[in-house]
Amino acid sequence: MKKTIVLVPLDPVHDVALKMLNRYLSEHGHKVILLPPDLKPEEAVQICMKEKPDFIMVSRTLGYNAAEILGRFIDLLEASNLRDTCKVVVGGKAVTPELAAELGYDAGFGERTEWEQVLAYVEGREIQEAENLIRKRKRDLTSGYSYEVRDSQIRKMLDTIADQAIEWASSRVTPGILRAEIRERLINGENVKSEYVNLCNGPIEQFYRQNIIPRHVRKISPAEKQNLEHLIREMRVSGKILQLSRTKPAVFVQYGTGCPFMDIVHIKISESWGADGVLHFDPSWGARCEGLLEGLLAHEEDGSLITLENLAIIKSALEDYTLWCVRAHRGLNTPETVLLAAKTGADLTKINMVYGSLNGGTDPARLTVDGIHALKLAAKYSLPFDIPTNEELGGVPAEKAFAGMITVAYIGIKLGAKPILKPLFCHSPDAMINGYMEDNFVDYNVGKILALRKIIDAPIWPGEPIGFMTHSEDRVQSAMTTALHAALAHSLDLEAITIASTDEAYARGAITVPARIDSLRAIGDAFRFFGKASIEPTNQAQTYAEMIYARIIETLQKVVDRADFVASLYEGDFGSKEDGANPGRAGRDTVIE
Amino acid sequence: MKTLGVLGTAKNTGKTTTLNAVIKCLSKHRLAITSIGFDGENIDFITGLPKPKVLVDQGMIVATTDKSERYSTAKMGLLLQTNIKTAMGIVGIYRVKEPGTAVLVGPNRGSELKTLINQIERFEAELLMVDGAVNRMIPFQSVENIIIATGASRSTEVETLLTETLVMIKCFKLPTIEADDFHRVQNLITKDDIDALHGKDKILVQGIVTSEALKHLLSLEKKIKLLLSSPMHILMIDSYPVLSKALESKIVDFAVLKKPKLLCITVNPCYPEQRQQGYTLSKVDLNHIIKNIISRTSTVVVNVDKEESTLCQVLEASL
Amino acid sequence: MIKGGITPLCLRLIAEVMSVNIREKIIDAIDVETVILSESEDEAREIGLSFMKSLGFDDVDVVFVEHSGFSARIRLRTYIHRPGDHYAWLSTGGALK
Repeated sequence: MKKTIVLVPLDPVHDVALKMLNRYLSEHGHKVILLPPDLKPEEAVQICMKEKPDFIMVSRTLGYNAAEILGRFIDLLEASNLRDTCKVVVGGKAVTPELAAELGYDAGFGERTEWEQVLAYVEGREIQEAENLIRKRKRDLTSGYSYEVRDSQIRKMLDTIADQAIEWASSRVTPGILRAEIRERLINGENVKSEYVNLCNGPIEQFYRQNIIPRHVRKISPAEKQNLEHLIREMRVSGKILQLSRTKPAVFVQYGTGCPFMDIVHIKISESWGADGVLHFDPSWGARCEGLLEGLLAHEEDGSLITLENLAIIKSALEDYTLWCVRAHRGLNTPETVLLAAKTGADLTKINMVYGSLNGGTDPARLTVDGIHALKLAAKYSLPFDIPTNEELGGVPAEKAFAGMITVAYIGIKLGAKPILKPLFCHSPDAMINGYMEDNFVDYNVGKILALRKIIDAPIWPGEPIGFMTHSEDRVQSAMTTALHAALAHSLDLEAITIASTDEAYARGAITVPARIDSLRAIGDAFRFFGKASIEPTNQAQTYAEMIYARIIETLQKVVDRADFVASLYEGDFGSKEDGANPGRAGRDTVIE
Repeated sequence: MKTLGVLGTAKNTGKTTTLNAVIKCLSKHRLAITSIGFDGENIDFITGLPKPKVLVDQGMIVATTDKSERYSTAKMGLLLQTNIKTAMGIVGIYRVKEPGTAVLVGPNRGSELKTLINQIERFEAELLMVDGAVNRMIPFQSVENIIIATGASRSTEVETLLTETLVMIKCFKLPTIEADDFHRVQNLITKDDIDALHGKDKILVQGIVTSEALKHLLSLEKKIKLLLSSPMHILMIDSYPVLSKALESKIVDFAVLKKPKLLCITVNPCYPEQRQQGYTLSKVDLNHIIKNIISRTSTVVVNVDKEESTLCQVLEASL
Repeated sequence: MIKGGITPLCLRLIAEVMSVNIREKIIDAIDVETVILSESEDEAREIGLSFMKSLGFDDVDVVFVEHSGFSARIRLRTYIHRPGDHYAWLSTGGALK
């Protein structure tokens, strides 16, 4: 039903907000009369008496005398017999319901009011209290991608490499795979704990057999668990949405303080301030042990332990739209981790035998067998997996790391899984040595994306985090570089990004909550700044793209020629010792044929 | 049931302090309380200075919204839910079970206050106190007795404050008459409105009169009787000096249809002074004003902090 | 990390001891940036301001506060010197030696 609304600026200057409101309400079919500013209140009242509106909306920037002016205005309306026939509302920067009540107005609209709320009020609908009227929905990062490898020559190479690797792995098994199978049976209720423990070693074995808790680990008591569950219930949030006119990229943050309480608070704060997804960061020593611990456990150093119970409680804390990645890209527990991830409701996992064995400390043969099994599990449970290329940080040139990444992706595709490519947006050693980023951080990063897109149609999610090696401890600098890298990902329409807090470069303590908010805020503004506009690289980007593309093919050719994927890992085809890659030792000689 | 309103001339003129003093004076009576706005925030929204809270005793009836009831420290039980809507929820009538502070949010207009008064009467209160809000006064049409709370917050210029206060008192002392043969108009706002009267000399203005209209009227130098709904309606005028002149002139004869009884004036010497870093509480010496008001009118002036017994006497005598 | 917590009294003593040096070395202001668990913006404001006052600062203000969910991001400020004050760093030489 069409309403008549009079807008009264009781300010001496034109009110931009009222002009916008005028347009908005008119567009929705209502009769709006916008009065000029600087009218005497009595004149405004006269006009209202003539127009007999349904609503009178008054705006006034708050200041010392503003309350009295607004109070007198409403008295004038009541004295002129308009009070009972019109609803009178007040709007302005510092207006709150309390202020509106004090001044005698029927409603108050403050700084964060959406025009939609005013419209709802006018039309008699419920005003939503929530800050976001658009509810966040969980995304599928892999939807819309064909995974087609465009060039037939490359496809042939990948087929050769993948087939050989899959065949080689299929006749082998490891304690990791066996534990994963037992774990599945354990979850189904079978009493096979002792079989599991037989396949564990070191501190894990001691934990089960002798009840010795590993160093820096402690059990969370039932009382603490109750508090934790209570905390989770109290902390439901309706998160901000950072993306505006573009829907990508999804923004991920990493958590892993070691303490599930702190992790959960960090996760909830991140969700509040716009994060779309979170990644579980586990301790590095866990990768070197056979077996996973069990129970609700806290870790007194960096990284949160992967146990079924820890994962379950973290899942219970997440909003239903938040994406959750549990990583299984290195170490002796990769198949089991993927299984637990799937069973506890994770949305994504992380698998990369190349990085995991060259820079993650795990033996190449072991990780290849485990990794391929993990890929099968990822396929079985429809868990997309990302493939990190952190070898680059050790000095391996991007193109070799990418060859490894694409190989793993292709193996995954062959096994029915859904890979997500994870190039780094970083100031890598290789780039530094060769001067690729001397002038700007745009061209080389764009070159990487162009090269990858030329090879395969797959989702791309730079991380962890973007802007690696460009952060300092200065908050603004750190937030700025994160935001600019995010803007680049935004401009390139990439699926997702993982971001750092502004504590990224600070090494003497845990990441703080304000530091997380810093980056999320900065990114929100970067997205707002660019909207549908883009960042323009120079011609150098195309040059880099061609260079990277050519070298990826070179690397793949070497691997094809070697005809033994695992040997290629050991021998440095995917990254040599000079490059800074070091085949890992954990799990050496544990592969069973 | 009697009604008493505390009308303020600006924010921070001491309404709440006065209200608390009234409650203390009349504690032996069955009291009810509400507000035409919102009273009870810890800190003033604009100045950031702490504000006094309303203290309610066991057995008192409080009309406020459920959201506000939650923030009160007094424990209250709901007697009746009304249909009166405010920006902070719907007004309910409560009985205080355990004493404490109360956040008051009540009807924001006179017509709804009238309805509320009728509803509260059922609960056998002897007196309903209505807290004012900012400088609002029109809703007090429905109230029988008034205390005006003014002070340095209204103006730090002592002479201006004095003139204004005297004008207010004068308005509350105007005669009440019937409207039988008066020509009715809604408002007298412009010169044209005056000219449109075509020289009629008995005008009932149902709404307001502006200084522009009044000045023109005075310039015509023709005697005229102006009847307004209430003293508050007259006080809606945009210039008190012009009103003061008009009240003193022999040309305009003011009267009102109805008026609350002005019991006394309370004067608050404190006011929030704007500094670079926000506001601080400063004081003005208002003794001159107080003496003047007392000598020139027969109105009682009370400094609420120091002269509680005077206030109590006035209340007991009038109610 | 100091375990066990610091009482307001202790903080005030620290502030008093430090305040002499602070006034000579800070050009204008100190900002405190943090996240406060609170139910509303107003609550966070109150907590933040009383915290700053408990540290012995009088000229305090909330530069920014935004509440989301169960906590508020807040920047609190105390001016050590406002333009027009007698600057401690000028009269004693301070950093401008």
